[in-house]
Parts: sequence; C-alpha cells; structure tokens
Amino acid sequence: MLTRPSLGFGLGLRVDHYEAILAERPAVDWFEVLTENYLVPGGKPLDYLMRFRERYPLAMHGVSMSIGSSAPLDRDYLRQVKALAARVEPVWVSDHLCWTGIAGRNTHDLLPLPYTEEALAHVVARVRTVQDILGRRILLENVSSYVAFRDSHLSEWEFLSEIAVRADCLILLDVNNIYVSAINHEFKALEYLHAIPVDRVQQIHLAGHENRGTYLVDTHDHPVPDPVWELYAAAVRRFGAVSTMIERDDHIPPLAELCAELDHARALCERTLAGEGAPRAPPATRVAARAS
Amino acid sequence: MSELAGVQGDFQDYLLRGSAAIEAHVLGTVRVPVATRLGVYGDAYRARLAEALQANFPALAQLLDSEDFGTLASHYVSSHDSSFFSIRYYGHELPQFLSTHPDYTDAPLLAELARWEWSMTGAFDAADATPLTHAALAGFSPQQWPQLRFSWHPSVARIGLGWNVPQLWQALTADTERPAASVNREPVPWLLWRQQLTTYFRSLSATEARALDAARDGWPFGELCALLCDELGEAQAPVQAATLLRGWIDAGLIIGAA
Repeated sequence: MLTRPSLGFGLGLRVDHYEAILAERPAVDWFEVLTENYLVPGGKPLDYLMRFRERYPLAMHGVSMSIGSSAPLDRDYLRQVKALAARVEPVWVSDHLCWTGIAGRNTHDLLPLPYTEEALAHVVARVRTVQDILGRRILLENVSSYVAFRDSHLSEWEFLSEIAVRADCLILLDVNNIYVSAINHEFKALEYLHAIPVDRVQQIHLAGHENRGTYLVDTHDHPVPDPVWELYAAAVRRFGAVSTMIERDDHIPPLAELCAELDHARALCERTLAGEGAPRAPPATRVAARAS
Repeated sequence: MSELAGVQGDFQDYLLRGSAAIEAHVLGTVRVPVATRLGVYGDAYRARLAEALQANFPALAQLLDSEDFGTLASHYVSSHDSSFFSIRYYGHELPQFLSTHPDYTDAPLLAELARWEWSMTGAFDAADATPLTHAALAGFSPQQWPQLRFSWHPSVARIGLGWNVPQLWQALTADTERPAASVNREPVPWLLWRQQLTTYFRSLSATEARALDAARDGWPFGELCALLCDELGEAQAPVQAATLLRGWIDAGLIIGAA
C-alpha cells in the first residue's frame, strides 16, 4: 500500500479566516494551503503560514506546475516549491492533472488534456522528473472540464489511473470535479470512481459548483450539494477514511459555517463506514507518502 | 510539432487571441455545443485576470466605478498575457499602461495610484531581513566611518508623486471621506518600507530624498556628509547626517554597514 493514514477532516486555508483560526483554534484536523500564495520573498504571508504550521498539519496544493504542458517544466518554479516545502514540511505536495499554458504564458486556468497515449507518456515522464526534483511523491488532482478532445481515446479515469501507476504518484480525488465532469461529458460518476486504484488515493476534495442549466461549472463558491455528498459516500465505501477537505475559493462564508459543513462530511464518513465495514486498506500497512 | 503541442497551441490561441482553430479538436454535444464549452474557458480566463487586477489594485478599482474599471481591465487583459506562475504578479505593467494609453493619459492620477499600490504590495511581501542596530553601528571606529556603505532592507522603495495619491489611497482603503484630488506644486518624494510585518510610508524633504537615494546608490558616509554640506552648509551638515542616519536605523531601513 502506498498511502499514509488519514489525517481526518481539513479545510482549505483562506486569508479571510486567518485571524479566526488563530483566535479560535477550530477543531479542524489539518489545512491545505495554496502553494503559490506563499511563493513570495517574505512578509506577512510567510509569517502567517509558519504560525499555522505550528498549530496544524499542512498540505501544499499548487496550481502552476502545469504537469501536462508541452512546454518545458518550469524548474525555477519547482525550485521555489521545494524550498517552501523544506520550510513548511507539508504532509504532502499536490497539483493538478492539467496544463496551464505554453510558450511562457500562464492562463491561470486548469486546462484539460487530450487523453492520448502521447499525453500519457508525456505526463508520466514529467511526474517522474518532478518527483525526482522535489524528492517526494506528489499527488495529482482530477480537474473539472468542459471540453473533450476528438483525439482522446482513453477515458479520464483510465488516463488518471495509468499516470498514477506508471509514474508512481498519488491521487487527490476531487469528488465534486468528478460529478461536474460526469454531467458535462455524460459519463457515469460511479464508473469513474470504481476505476481509480484504491491504494493511490491520498486525499479527497469536496466542493460546490454552479449549475448553468445544461452544464455545471466548478466555481468552488457554493456549499457541497447533495449529489456530491452521495458521491462522497460512495468514495468512502471504496477508498475508506481518506484525508478529506472542503475547498471554498469564492463567496467564502464565516469559518463556523465551513466547520459545520466539515462536521457533516465527518459524520457522513463515519456513518458510511459503520454501515459498510472497515476501509479496504488496513492502516497498519500504509506508509508515508513522503518516503518516496 | 507533437499532437499535444498542436492542441495546446490552438487552445491557448483561443484563450489569448480568440482564434477558432481549437474548435476542430473539440467535441460538442446536442445539449452543450462546442462554442458554449469553449466559452466557459474563454470567459473564465478574462474574468480571472480582471479579478486579479482588482485584487492587486483595490484602491484604483474603487476610485473608478465598476464599469470603468471593467473597461480598463478588459483593455489591459487583451493586451497583456500573464507570464507569472503566481497571479499575484499580474498587472506589473498597469502603471505604464495607464500613463501611455490614450484613454487614460488625461488622468495621470490613475497611473500614479497604480504605481503606488504596486509599490505598497512590493513592500508588503518583500524578503525579510534583520535591521542593523545602533549598537552594531557604534562598533565602527571613527576612521572607518567615512568609508561606511550601507545595505538596505529589501522592502525599501522610493517613489515621486505629482498628486496627493497617498492621502487618496488611505481614504479609499479605509473607506473614509476622500480628499479632492490635487496636484502638487512639484513632485513629492515618498519612501515606502516594511518594519517587521507592518508597511510604512512617509514623505521626504528634498534633502533627505537626495541623501537617501545617494546612500542607496552606494555612496559612502563621508560622501553623504559632503552632499549635505553642499546643501546645508558646514555648520548644519554633521548634525543633519547624524539625524538622518538615526532615523533610518530607527525605521529599520538599514540592514548592514561595511
């Protein structure tokens, strides 16, 4: 088994909640921080980060690795990520299975890849290089998407699973993103879920989205909706008590509201496990992700 | 070119330039046609960069109403791609853009406010450094003083302003009553820096500005004294040099002397 024991239930760390977290010490098991927010020379952002680090386990979650880009890897960026990781000692480092730009441009979006053998081999090689540079195994997250490419002859779940196995990396499974893409591309979310290798899933994201009538947009600005909770329960049945967090990027509510939503996730996970028995992977056999 | 590179090139050309070549690579459905699907990305790209400008220039966004700021953001985004891994750095050319774009050259205050906000952000997250103490400075012998050169906290920035931008910025960010925009008789030198975690700014006299700029250019203390001597005369220069240096040390501007 490849994944480490569950950290429990976490939240995405957002500036709006900095003072409330320091003052109230909420019962959140861990926080996920946005890597790029702290890739600055100094000052308050890094000072706050280290204060949170003293109080909670932190995971680093990036948006600019552009692992699927046909442009060369940005080694300066990776050097900075590695330096930040050395300072923060995160439980793990993640980014997205996507590309963000080529030719020196960053679109600041998580753009989808064609699911081809060429792209697969390209991403696998780059994940290996990144893991060598960072000296640790990384997690890749599935993104929401709105387009599918004519060239794709693999499903997204085949593509993600193959990369994880061939590159020996881990998976950050965003349950909301599976749901959004399932609606947009008219596939079965459960088929996706059941194709993902259990021993690769290190973390789960929960979030909300926006319904635009004929399609969904992954806006991360709503509470987790019922269909995503249902899919999460199915994920718990398959993957067990994986470290889970709620991600809210816009219309950020008071901390207490997110903590209540997190309590719901915790209770749902416990109920699901109680009803379905123990997770498949016994914790004793799991080893740390950082020991790659 | 690989197929992957071709698809990504067409996709990026669509986002950045509105090129239609990507449509040939994308599958639509009856329910959601290709144009709608691609439009999600195109709209998100422009909205995200416009939001970044608003986040990076909040006072400017407030000074302009949302429609005017939206127009400015649209102009800027369509002519400025991002090359940064962090969106925090998007907008670094906005002051220059405002000072040269014909729609905005009649309002030079806007470019100055943008330059001010960008400088404040630069001071906010500049690298940390330990300030030099008075005690450390006292360790130099009288013979060493004329040759002493100082190194500066990475947050220290100088800016000259023709308008009452800092006063406007304070009112805009604190949401207090805004003073009328007014032009200075001559540009006022301002100093921005961070001490510990707090960002400060103050205006400088012309003499202090010249001395500080010279010191940051690497002039040794002896030459700074000579500069002050030329400006103020021999009687006042030594006292003024000591006063300025004490003030710079007190504010944490200086991090080394050698």
